Amino acid sequence: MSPRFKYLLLFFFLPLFLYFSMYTWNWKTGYLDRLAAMVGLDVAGWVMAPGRWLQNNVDEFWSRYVYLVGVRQENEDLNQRVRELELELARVSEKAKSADRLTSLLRFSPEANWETRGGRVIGQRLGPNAILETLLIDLGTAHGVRANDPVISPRGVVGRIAKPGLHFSSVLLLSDSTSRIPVITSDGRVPAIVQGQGPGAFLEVKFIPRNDPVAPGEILISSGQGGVFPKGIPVARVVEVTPADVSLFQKVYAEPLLALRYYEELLVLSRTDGYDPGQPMASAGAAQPAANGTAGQVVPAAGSAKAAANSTNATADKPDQPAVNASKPAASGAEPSKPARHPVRKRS
Amino acid sequence: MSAAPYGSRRPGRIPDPVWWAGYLVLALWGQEISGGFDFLTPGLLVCLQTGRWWTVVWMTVLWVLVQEGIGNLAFGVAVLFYAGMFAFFLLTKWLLEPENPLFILFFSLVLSVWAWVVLSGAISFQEIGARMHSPWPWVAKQWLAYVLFWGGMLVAYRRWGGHGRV
Repeated sequence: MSPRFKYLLLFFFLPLFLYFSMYTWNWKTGYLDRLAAMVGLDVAGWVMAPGRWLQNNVDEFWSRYVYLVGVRQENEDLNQRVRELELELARVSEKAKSADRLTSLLRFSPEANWETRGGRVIGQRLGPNAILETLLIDLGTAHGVRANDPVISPRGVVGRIAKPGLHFSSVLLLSDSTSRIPVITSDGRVPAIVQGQGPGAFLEVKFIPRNDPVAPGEILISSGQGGVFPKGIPVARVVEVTPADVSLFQKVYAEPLLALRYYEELLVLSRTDGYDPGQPMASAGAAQPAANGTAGQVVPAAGSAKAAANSTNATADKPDQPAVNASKPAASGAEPSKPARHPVRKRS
Repeated sequence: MSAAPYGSRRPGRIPDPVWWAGYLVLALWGQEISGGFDFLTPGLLVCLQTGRWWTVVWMTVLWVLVQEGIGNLAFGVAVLFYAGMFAFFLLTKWLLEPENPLFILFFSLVLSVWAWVVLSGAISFQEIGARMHSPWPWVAKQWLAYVLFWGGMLVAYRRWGGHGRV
């Protein structure tokens, strides 16, 4: 063996081999991803949190004690709004009670319970590898947060937990192009999928058939199918509807109901029944949804467990494979697989 | 006045762990404010220039974990980037003196291009449906960030850093 070949082997091929070995091992197991999430998110979180706390306090001090222009007028407006809302609440609560009675009469299965935790946004795009639209919040697995937990604000959906760390987590925003959420239109009850198009762009509302009614101004609410988001949370408002010419579906665009990047406090929802949309059911034939249509993990059917374990958010792309598949039970005898560890990777 | 030898701490200067902890805070805030440009790497380059190999080792491990942890890609992108950076550094060192300002300018440019190549390669390799930034404006901004932060850190480390000459 010539010395030149030895050097080539030592300094190029050996490191390359080691790198790809590490990459493949991590791709299969996800150990390094989890370690990096635990260390990286926590280091960044603890570094950013004091500065963000200081910034929030300074802002609060300024707006509460110094900058008081228009406060009186705002107070009067808010009082008026509270009175209106109280009237509406009284009217709606009667309807809610009758809905509960009817539900119990018809023996519908009760909806899942959700626990709410408040969290603060402490960072946004924190590094060169943060290529998706994400936020860093101060809640992690130590607080009970898990991957794919919905993140909302009082005005609507913000996104979902993409990467949980120990005390801090990364939130994938609704506007990211890898985000997909199953929705229904509030008036026509037409099911669709809302997909992000990147920062500042409208959201695309996919798979609304050409004859189904949808109009600008209509609110899209989460349909609850897929098991990630609870039903009934406002997601977006329709802004543009173009009738289909040759396609089977209309071209519909919507806008988020809130400025996603300017929120300081958010709510993370967690299911109290322990159901994880990223995990297959332990018992075969259980009556839980088997697939997840909101950019989460796809629970595999028998025979395709390995391939589906790493796949995410791809079903929403394909009209012939509806992402909203909550009625399909887990296949009997399906091989229990590990959850997909990278929630934004596309299915190959 | 002769410079202090490598590895010896000059009295009255900031100890290394404190210095680099402060650097980490500054760099992460830089990354946040700039919208995702890399500010951690210049610290590593300062250590490479000064030949502080143990600092390079632990700092590389920590920087890799931080960059991978706060990122959205599968583990390995920062490893590849830093491996390439070390290789380029050793190669470029043969041509130019590391303390030369031209070295900083040239190497920052190489590193910015390398960062873009690694990042866009990883996005397409991992089949993530995210749009990569258009190359030249991104490379130009990252180059500016590297040059300013690296130059600034070098000057600051000379004045207040815990060890001898840079």
